[in-house]
Parts: sequence; C-alpha cells; structure tokens
Amino acid sequence: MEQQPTNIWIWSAIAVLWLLPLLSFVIGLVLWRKRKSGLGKFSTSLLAVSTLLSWLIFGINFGVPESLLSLSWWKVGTTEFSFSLALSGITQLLLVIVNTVSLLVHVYSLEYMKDDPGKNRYFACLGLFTFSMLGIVLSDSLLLIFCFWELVGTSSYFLIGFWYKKESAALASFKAFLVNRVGDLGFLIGICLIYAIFRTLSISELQTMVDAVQWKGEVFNFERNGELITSSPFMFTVISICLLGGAVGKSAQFPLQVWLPDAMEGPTPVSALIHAATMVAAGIYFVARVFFLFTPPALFIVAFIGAITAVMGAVAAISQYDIKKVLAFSTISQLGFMVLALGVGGREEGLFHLATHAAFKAGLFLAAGSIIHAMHRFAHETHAHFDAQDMRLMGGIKKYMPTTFLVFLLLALAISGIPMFSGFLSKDAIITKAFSWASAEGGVRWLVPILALFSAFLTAFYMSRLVMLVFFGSNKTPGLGEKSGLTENGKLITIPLMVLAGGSLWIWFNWNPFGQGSWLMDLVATGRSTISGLYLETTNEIPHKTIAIISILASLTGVGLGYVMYDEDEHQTIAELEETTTKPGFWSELSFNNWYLNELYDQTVVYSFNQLTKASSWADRRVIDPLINLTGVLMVVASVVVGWFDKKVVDGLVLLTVRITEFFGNIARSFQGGAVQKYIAWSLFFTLLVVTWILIK
Amino acid sequence: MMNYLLSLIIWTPVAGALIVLLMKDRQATAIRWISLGAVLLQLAGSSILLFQFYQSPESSGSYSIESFQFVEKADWITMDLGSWGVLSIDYLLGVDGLSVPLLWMSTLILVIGMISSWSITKQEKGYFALYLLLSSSIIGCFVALDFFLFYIFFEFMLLPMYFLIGIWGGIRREYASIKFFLYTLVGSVLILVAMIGLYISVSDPTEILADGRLVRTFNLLHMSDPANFIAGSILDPSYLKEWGGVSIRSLAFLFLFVGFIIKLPAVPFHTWLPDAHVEAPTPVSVVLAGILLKIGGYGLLRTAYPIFPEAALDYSWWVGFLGVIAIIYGGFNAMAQSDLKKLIAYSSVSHMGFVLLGIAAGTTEGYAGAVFQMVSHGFISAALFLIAGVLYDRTHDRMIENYSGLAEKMPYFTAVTVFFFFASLGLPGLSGFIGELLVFLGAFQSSSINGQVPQWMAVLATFGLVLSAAYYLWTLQRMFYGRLALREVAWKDMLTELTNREWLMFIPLIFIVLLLGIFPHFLLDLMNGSINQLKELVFENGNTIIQSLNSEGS
Repeated sequence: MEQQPTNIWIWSAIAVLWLLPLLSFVIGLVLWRKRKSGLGKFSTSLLAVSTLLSWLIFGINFGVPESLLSLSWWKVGTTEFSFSLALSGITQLLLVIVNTVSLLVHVYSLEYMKDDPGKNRYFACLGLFTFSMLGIVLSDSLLLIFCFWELVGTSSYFLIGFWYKKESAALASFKAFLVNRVGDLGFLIGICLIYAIFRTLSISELQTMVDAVQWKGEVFNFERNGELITSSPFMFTVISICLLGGAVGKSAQFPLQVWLPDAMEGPTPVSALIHAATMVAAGIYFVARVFFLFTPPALFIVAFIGAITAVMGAVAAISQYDIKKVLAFSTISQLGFMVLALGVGGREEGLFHLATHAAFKAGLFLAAGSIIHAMHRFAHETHAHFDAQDMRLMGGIKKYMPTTFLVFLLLALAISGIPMFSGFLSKDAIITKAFSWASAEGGVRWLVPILALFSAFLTAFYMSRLVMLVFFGSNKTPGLGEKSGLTENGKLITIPLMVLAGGSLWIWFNWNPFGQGSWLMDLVATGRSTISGLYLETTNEIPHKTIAIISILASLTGVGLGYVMYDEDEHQTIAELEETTTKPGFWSELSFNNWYLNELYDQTVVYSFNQLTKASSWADRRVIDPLINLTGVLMVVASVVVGWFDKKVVDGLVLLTVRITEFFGNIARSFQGGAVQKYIAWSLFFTLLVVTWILIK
Repeated sequence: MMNYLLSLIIWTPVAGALIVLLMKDRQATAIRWISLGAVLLQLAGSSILLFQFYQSPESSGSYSIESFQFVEKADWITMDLGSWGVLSIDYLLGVDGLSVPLLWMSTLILVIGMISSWSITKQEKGYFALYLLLSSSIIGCFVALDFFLFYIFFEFMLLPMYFLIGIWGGIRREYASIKFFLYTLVGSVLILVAMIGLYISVSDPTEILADGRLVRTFNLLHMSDPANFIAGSILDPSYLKEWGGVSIRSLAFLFLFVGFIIKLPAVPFHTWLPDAHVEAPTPVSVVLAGILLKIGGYGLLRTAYPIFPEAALDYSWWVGFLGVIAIIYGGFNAMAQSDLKKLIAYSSVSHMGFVLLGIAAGTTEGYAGAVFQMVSHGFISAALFLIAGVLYDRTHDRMIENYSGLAEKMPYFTAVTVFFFFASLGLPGLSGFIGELLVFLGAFQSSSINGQVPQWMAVLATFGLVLSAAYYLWTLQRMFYGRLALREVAWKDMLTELTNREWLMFIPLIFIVLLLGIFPHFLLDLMNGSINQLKELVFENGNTIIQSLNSEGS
C-alpha cells in the first residue's frame, strides 16, 4: 500500500492542536487553587485554535491517503515500541468532531460553571480529557491507544466526581472507573495476544500483514519479518472478542452499561462532551480501527451485543423522570446502534452515526443543561428546594425558554430519525445494512434488524415523551408566581446549542434528505482487506427505498404515540413525587430500574467479590498467621524440651560422670588413707594377683 | 577515585555512623545533618555511577566478569585446607544493568527516608547510627559479586532493621520485630545451606594451584558457569545426585528461592510484612517497602536463576503460580484492610507478585518487566508510606473509617495521594504501568516462545488490575471525598497541609514516576543489555543441562 510522504506542515499543525489542550491542563494545574483567574477564557481560546487547525487539516488533507508519523519511543530486547501516529480520513473526521464539541462545551461552561469555586480544576480536567481523546484518535499503536484510553477514563473519573463532596458523585466516579477497568482487561489481554502472535502493536503494520494474509482453508498464514507464521481463525475470534471488551466498557454496552447512568452526577456540559459525544464513542472508533481483525463469528457477537444494548437502553429511557437519565439511557441505546452497525459489517455506517450522534446528543445534553441551569437559577432566586432535573417539575417551558425549546425540538427530531435531519440518514443506513446482512445468512440474524427497528421506534417514543413533559402543558415548577418564572440563558449557552442544532440538519451529510448514506462514509472507508472479507459471504442488497419507508414509519409511530400518551397534564406535588418513583407494574418497574442490572450485579459480582475479600482476609489472619505463630510456639516448645534435656539429661550425665568419678575417687583415696597396715595388705593383694596372672598365662 | 567508587558508596554511611557514635546524645541536630550528609554523598556517588554507566550500558559477550563495570577485586580470606584445596573469599564488587537502576533507586529512597526521619525524636544517636549501617549493607547487597560477601551484607541488614522496628516502632513493635527477624532468619539459613553446598562444589577456573589442588570460590560469576562445578560434587550439573527423589540441585534452588521470596515477600511467606509495616516508623517503612523487598527479587535474578538454570526452568510453572497467587490474594487482602498502612503493605505483596510472574515467564519482556516493576514500585511504595505517614504524624491514627472528606481540608495532600494511588494502580503515563505491561506482554508470549508460563495464569493476573483500582479508589472515596468528618473534632486543626519538608520528599518522587512512565527508555536502555544476557544465560545453560541429563538417562 502506498503511503504519503510525511508532510511536515500537517504534522506540526497536528502537534500544535494536540498539545494545546495539554497546555490548558498544565496551566490549570498550576492555577488550580487560585480563585480569580481567567483560566476558563484562556482554555477556551486554546481550544478555539485547536478547532480551527483541525478544520484546516480536514479541508487541506481531504481525500489524501493515510500517512504515518513514527518516532522511536522505547525498546525492550529487540522489539521497538514506537510512538506512531496516523492521519487518515477517519482521524480527520474525529479530530474535527472532538475539537468542535470540546470547544462548544468550553464556551458553554464559561457561563454554566461561572460561579463554581472549583472551575479552574474543571477546565484543567477538560483540557486533560481533550488531550487524551485526541491521543486515542491520532495513535496508530494499540499500546498508545490503550494509554490514552485509560487517561480519558481517568479524566472522566475526575469529572464525574467533580463535586466530590457529594457522596453519590464520589460513588458514581468510582463505579465508572471500576466497570471500565473490567472492560479494559479484555483490551489489555487482546493487546498481549496480538503481541504474542505478531510481535508488533502498530495498527498499520497489522493491516499490512492482514493485506498479505493467505487463507489456507483452516488456518491463516502471515508474514512476520520474513518469517511465516500460522494462526487459527479461532485465535482471531478470541482476540477480537477481547478487544471488543474494551469497547463494551467504554461505550457502555451490555453487560457493562451500568456505569453510564450514574455518570450523570458530573456537570451537564461534561455529560455532553464525555458521556455522549466523544469518550463513549471511542469504543466504536476503536473497533472501527481494528475492524480488519474481526472474524465473522466475532462480528456476529458484536451485532447481538449492539442490538441488545440498543433495545435495553431504549426501554430503560422510557420511564425515567430525571431528564439527564433519559438522555443517558438514550446514549446507551444509540451507542448500541453503532455497535450493531459494526457487527453487521457496516463499519462506515457506524462511524457515520457516530458523527451525527455526536452533534445531536451533545446538543440535547447542552439543551437539557440549559433547562437545568435555568431551574437552578430559579430555585436560587426563590429560595426553593427541588430537584432541578425532575421532568415532572417542568412542563410548559417552551413559553419561558423559546430558543432552548426550538433547539431541543430540532435535535429531538434528529435523534428520532425523522427525514430532513442527520439522524434519519445514519439510522436508515444502519438499518438497511442490517437487513441486507440478515437476508444474506438468515436464521437468528433476522433478530438484529428487527431489534434495530424496534429501538428506533422506542427512541422516537421516549424523545416525544420527554418533549411533551418538559416543554408542553402547564408549568409545574414549585414557587412559580404570576411574574416570576424560568428565564432563557445567555448567549454563551444558546450559541453552542444553535450550532449543534444546525449541525443536525441533513444538508451537511447528504444533499438529498431521503438519500442513502453520506459522503462521510467514503471518507472513512479504508478500502483495505479484512479478515472477515476472506470468508466468502453472500451479499444480498435489499432495496433501500423499502427500508427507508419502514424506518420512517417506525419513527413517526413512536413520535405520534408519545404525543398522544403524554398530552394530558399530570399535576403532582413534591410530596407525591417523593412517594412514587415510578408507576407500578412489571414492565415500567423493569424499565425504571434499568432491567435491575445494578441489583443483579450487587447480588452476584459484588457479592462474590466481597466474599472473596473476606475469605482472603480470613485465610491470612486465621490460617497463615496462626501457622507462623504455631511455628514460633513450636520453636519455643522445642527449646524448652532441649532446655530440659540439657538440664536433666546432659547435665545429669555430666553429674553422673562426676558421681562415678567421685565414687572411684573415694575408693582410690581410701587406698591412701595413711594407714600402713592397709598399704601392706593392698600391696600383698596386688602382688598375689600379678603372680597368679603370670602363672596362669 | 572511579576505581573505588563502589566502595566509597558502600562505606560512606559507615564512616558517618562512626562519627555519629562519637557524638553526644544531646547534639541531635548535628547528628541529623551528618547522617543526611552521609546518605547525600551516597546518592551523589551513585548518580556519578549512573551517568558513567549510562555512557555504555550495553554489555557484550556472555555473562561474566567482563560484563560488569566498576569492578573491584581484592583477596579477603584465603585459607589453605590441605587436600581440600584452598578456600578463597574475595572482596568482589561490580555493577551491571540489573544492579545499577536498583542501586540508584535505593540511594534516592535512603535520602528521602532520611528526610522523613527528621521527625524522630527518641534516642536520635542510636537511630541515625543504625539507619546509616542499614544504608551501607543495602548498597553492599546490590554490588557484591561474591556470594559470601553478598550473604554478609544480606544478613547484616537484619540487625539494624530489627532494632529500628523494635525500638522506634509502634505499640506491638516487639512482636513485629521478632516476627520479621524469625521469618528472614529462616530464609537466611536456607540461603546459607545452599551457599555452603555451592562452595564445596565450585572451583575457580582461573586459579589452579601448582600441585593441582583446586581453589574453592564464592564468586557468583564462576558459580553461574556449569563448567566450573567439580565433577562428582554434590551440585555437579552433569550428574545429578538425588536425595529422596529430588535432585540436590533442585533442592538447592528451592532453598535459595524460598530464602529470597520470604524477603520479596510472596504468599504464603508474607505475613511478616503487614505487621512490620504497621509497627515500623514511617522512614523505616519507606526503606523496607522501597528497597528491602527488592533485594528478594534481585537475589533471585543474581543467584538462584543463573546458578541453577535448569531447576529454574523446571519450576517456572510454580514460580508463575506463586506470582499470580500473590497478585490476587494480596489484592483481596488489601481490599479487606481498615488500616491505611496495612492496605499499602498488602498492595506491595500484590505488586511484587508481578515480579515473580515476570521472572517465571522467562522472556526478555518478562525479565525487563520484573526489574522495571521493582524499580518503579520502589519509588511508588515509598511515596505511599510517606502518605500514610503524613496522616499519622498529624493525628496518630491511620484507620480509614476515621477520616472522610479530607480533600476539602487538605487539597494539595489529596492531589499528591491521588497521583500516587493512580501510579500504583497502573495508570499509563506513570511508571507503574510500564512494569506491569511488560510483565503481561512477557507472560502472554511465554507459552508460544518457551512454554514457561501458561496463558491462563497471565489472564488471571490481569485481574490484579481491577483489584488495585478497587482498593485504591475505594480508599479515595472513603477518606478523601464526601463531607469532612473526622473521628475527633480536634483533628480539624491538626490536619494541616503538607509542610515544605514533606514537599521535598514528594517532589522528586513525582518527577521520577512521571519521567519513567512517559520515557521508560531511560530505565530500559540501562538494563536491556544485561537483562538479555541473563536471559540467554539461563536458557542456554538450563537447556544444555537438561539435554545432557536426558541423553544420559536414555
């Protein structure tokens, strides 16, 4: 594959746009405790430069093939681990998305976080996040991606727990990090397995090997540094599933999606940036980067994980009353949609949805934040205490906040998949792809497009419910008087909203509002070989028109149903709200409690984890330590025995010797008593003895 | 001077200790400054060594005295044993890429421990003299190339440590110090037995007396060459003598192995560590965790593995298994602790498990990972014990449940804690990650390269990452986040921000942990040559011995 010669200007620009957010982080760290400083504005202007540069690169480098920049980093033994970056269509697209959303969120936060005492820390963390996210996007090495992957997780941890004095926020950040770690184990194992087989972690080198792979019916043959190595498809399936683990954690897919709803404890602009538009989409981006390693069985699993997540998230979103929770579950569902797209082989379709979703979901979160901000301000002015995120206390807001309403409406239409908006184009592309995938192989695969359609219908339904509850009907905010009421936010908040709403129109992606796909999909396509491409798969294109009509119908039904069901006003007092969290009934409780996943994990995983902790601690205190002490005691006992032996036996023997000697000594002494007669008698006796002995002999 | 650099580094603190002993008890300030001066000189010496070594870290050829630098050799004890030959013990010092990083790390930690010792106010004279003696014997261990000399230094560490815990420790200090002493003494006896066995089996190839009698040697490098074993001796690799079904060479390996993993410590020989740490004063904990544990790993790589390579290869499954057990079991135990210092102690057990796993894997990545992990853990664990010390100095309480919301009261201290907790849980960009990554790369690779460690062990070991994240972040959440709540109201005034002296200890550690995390090549380039050499040696000699035995057997 031909590669572009390294363009020094482009790469310098990339270095600058990448390091500016890091600079913002470092300066933020230094100024962290300073109450008054213009750090927010400074960080925002740095981000503005970054954004400008990324758009410039997008424009200048458009359609240019992939180019690499590889610097030597460290080596162990003979293996070189290089610091390698790649610039291709997909990178350019993500650079633009990440920087733009980050810039808008920075601008928005200038107003939103104006009065927070920790705002310097806030902007510093945003800088760290943006830097790490750009790192994921730019890296060509799996190792580098993993490093930045963990760093975005860490900045997400800091931002979820930004209001650390709140117990729930601290707990949510802990949970998010831990659940992500579980997924990352898969990622890490995948990296190690790849390294064990290929001795390299560079994605472009891996791609080159896959390009030249020989499929021998049962095994793959690769060339590694002139050496031929063999690997089985099963190994590749294992590797792809492991790598998928990372994406399942970060992108909140089934069964690890439980952390994302809790992550809403963070400030709302953070939810927009990290937990909607960029970080959670990193999983999809990552799978798209290593898509060429996935085998058909692995992709089958990917498709089902995506489909299950899409439906589970959508169902859970239906009965939430916290406006951010609805959006959080909606994000889970949409991410599931993207994963589903990857699974059915629609790598480009998934990335397309990632791009459109980034705009409309960031917009939805920021618009929700605009409402929450207004509710807070109102509560502050009227000295009232209520939950500023509870939709049952909203209602009729379109009258008070017309700009936010208009923006929200456009974005809601976009996510619901109504034509003339970006969401329709990308969703329709995915559903079409899913239908052709299912019709090619048939069987259980038909479930995937059906679940996709169903979740598209649910999406339209819960968004319509949300819009009805929040913007229509009468206002139920406590303390609302004749003259006082919610007020629209300033320009720093509304302008980012309008930009994102504008970005959700169809025109940027395809001139035809009912068209098929987008030019973006050509931009991110690589045109290189994939493992799954080695298998002969029958393709069966289902006419796009039919699918488009079905999916429009599904969306419209959802919107209509939501409109009809939530048109009437339910007025409740705060006391009533506290009593009833949800409507009784199996399905609505299941939905409200997110399928009882948290409870399930508490009872199984967390429980066994705690039991193991107790068991280990018990073993240490009650088994190993007593054994050691026993050894000590035995040694003391042994020394007592030895002591006794020494005293009684050895000493006794010595004493015995002494006594015997004494006895004989006494006898001998008695020879020399000084009595002459005794001398003579003894002399005679011994002389006789000697004589007798001689005679006998 | 360069010729005697190693001796200077070793003996400077002894000279300092002598001066300290000559001073009067009440001259505590002077004693402190002299002691600090001594360890600073040591650090300066080892820094010169580091820079000199860095000019040419690659050692070529096979593992022999030529691959060592700064070699000093002098006859120490020579004794004619008649028909037995001649007993020869050398004062032999030298460093290679394995010892230089550990040596430099130790001298830095000793300085930091000395700064931390400023808060000791009981019998300063004795304390500082003992600390200086400890400093000498530690460095001696890392540079001695004669087994006997190594053993003397190794044993001599016990003595000051025993008193430092037993006199300046906490409430149960006697129990802890005796436990520490007994444990390590058992280890020492095992090492001694193996050493004597080696002594009667190895002869010096360079010196043969005119009448053909052999010169018996303790030279570690001679021991590492199977050709130097006397034919028919009990540890002769060409003909394995058995004792109760186990070859005596394997038995000798096991003796050395157990002797050193008690120091490391590996489960189930680890229970001295939590007690010793809890009772030890902060600086002693810092030295204990930062340096002493590493001598266990270093001993394995310097003695047991090169001398008994075939036994090492034979037992690698068990070595790896012990490593994995330590990682998981230590992690779960850390979860269960309510004393901050005990938690950190168990996390040390867990992290040293990676050293065993890396060594067992037997690939370049694994060995490099093991050494990297030792160096990095030296810095990180030192900082973690300092963190526990910061709290203990202020309130004399280390119970996790007695604190909450510290972030509000001590923001800078919290930031430092968060930094080192993340370093220890393996956040990329900080040094802890690189060591663990290399161990994993090595362990996963092992089954396809040399078949030493199965992949399921490596998979199990990755679970340690979840555990470390769990206990550290849970601690952060309980102690530092939430609303400020302390067991006693008076603590609110006691809990003041970090003092300048404390910053002085943390800043170099932060700097190094970042440096090694972002630019690991600074450390890897130092040791790459020697690690490779060592690995080649173990596998070449080990496989040769195994093959020759197999061919004899068949």
